[in-house]
Amino acid sequence: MKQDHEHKQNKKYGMVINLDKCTGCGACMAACMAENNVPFRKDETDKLLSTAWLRIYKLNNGKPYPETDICYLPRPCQQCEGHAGHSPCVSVCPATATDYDMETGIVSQIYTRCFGCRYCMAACPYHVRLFNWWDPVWPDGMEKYLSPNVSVRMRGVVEKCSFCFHRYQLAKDKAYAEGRRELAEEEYQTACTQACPADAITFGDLNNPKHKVYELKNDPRAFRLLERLGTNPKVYYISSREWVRRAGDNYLEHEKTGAVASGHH
Amino acid sequence: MDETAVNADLILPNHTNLERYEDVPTPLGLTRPIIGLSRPVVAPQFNTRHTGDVVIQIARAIGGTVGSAFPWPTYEACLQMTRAGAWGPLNRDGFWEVPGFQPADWAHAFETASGKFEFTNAAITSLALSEPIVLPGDEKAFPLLLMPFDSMRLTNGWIGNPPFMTKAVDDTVLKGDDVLVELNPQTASSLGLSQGQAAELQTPVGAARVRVNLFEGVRPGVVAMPTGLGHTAFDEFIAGKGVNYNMLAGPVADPASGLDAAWGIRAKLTKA
Repeated sequence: MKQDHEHKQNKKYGMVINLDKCTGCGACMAACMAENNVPFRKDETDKLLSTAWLRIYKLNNGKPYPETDICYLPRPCQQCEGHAGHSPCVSVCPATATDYDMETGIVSQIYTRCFGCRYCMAACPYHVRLFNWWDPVWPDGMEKYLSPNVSVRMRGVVEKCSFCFHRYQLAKDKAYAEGRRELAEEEYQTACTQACPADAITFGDLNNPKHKVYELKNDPRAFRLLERLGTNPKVYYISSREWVRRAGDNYLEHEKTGAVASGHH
Repeated sequence: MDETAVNADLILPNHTNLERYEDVPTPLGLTRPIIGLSRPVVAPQFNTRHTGDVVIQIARAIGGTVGSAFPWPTYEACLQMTRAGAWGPLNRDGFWEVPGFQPADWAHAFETASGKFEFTNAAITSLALSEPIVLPGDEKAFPLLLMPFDSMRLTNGWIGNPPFMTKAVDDTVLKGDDVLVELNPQTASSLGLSQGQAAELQTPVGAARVRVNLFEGVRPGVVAMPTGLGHTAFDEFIAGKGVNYNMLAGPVADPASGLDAAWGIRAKLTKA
């Protein structure tokens, strides 16, 4: 299951999030939960137990008032490629419940295979993986709103952001039915991307020069989270502020942040 | 149901916006009169009735001249008849622009003596000049200033925060049922309060239990409280969580306009 080849010729779906534009409104989080049948409980304030596929972090520059500056950082699954598809979670899963798809670059989560050992949660340096401590319960009548395209998850399994993979499948089905083999950029977009009122999130194929993310990821202000771990994520961030770029990794005082070395993978 | 509805003896729930016909008069900010139409896209999910139909039925039941003033069988029929000429385009395009509209020419654009835009008018200048607003409360007994702030993941109006948005609220804003007030670390240190610690917040008007979130972005001496919490109604996902700032605040009348001019209130924070 763990392929050794690289997927240079295939699709490599990724995201570029412009932190200069993000206002921290949370529309991406709400859209994600509605799209992906993510349940809610009475108390969601213990974030270790709360299952939000996308979470917004509030960073600050640590300077005293009035020099304090803040930045909101939305964090979906980083869809790590690692080296040749060996992303941290995929490497440790004993059930092959999570896999790296060489066709799209998306890290899957197959709920019916997962038996809840949570190795993947320990392995993920981004805390994107969430454990279902309870079966989902929706208020009366609300189950009618559930999307038939996304499985609901039972107690005891791990879940995470899928880059709205079901939307990719639907778009692919439609394209095939119309005799096409290629998807246009706008045919496959994630719910968070479309919900963002600030247009901070851009989604597309990082391998396709015609897609906006292709250029954006090479922006000199672009960086990825904990990049030096070698996780090789497919979520890029852009910030014009140096302190925000520094917050993306554990830099020593003398170390400088640099442009993302896009050629190293 | 919101707090007002909970106090009502009679509840006549309307369809939601996706379940009903409704004409939308010219929204604020448009330069020309344009009427919009919202149309139902799903059947009503609950035991509700269009408020327009309810009004028509009540009028009929009253009878007499009131009843005859509402001759339509349904609200939809009322809309069709009253928007007679526009019903076609409204249904086709979703909006209708009032034909032949001419905005007032510049000579008549402003109803001021000069006929031009004026920053103040004679009525206001005849009033006494505004004095600086003095917030209620003794400065010694209440050395801090409690300020409310709006945040984007908490609705602060008459709508209760929906569950998805409440789930998106940070644990530095809401923890369990406690709201966290933002406090400059310098102020927190002088009060002996540390991150997440419970405290009693007192103002001349009321008191509440809160927790503190240390944040450098808050001016020293200020206690910043998010608005939109402290609901008693709606559902278990929002009721009973946090504190309603309005229960701790008191208005200060602006001497010229009579409107509330207070943006905060004096406060005191002690370890709980």
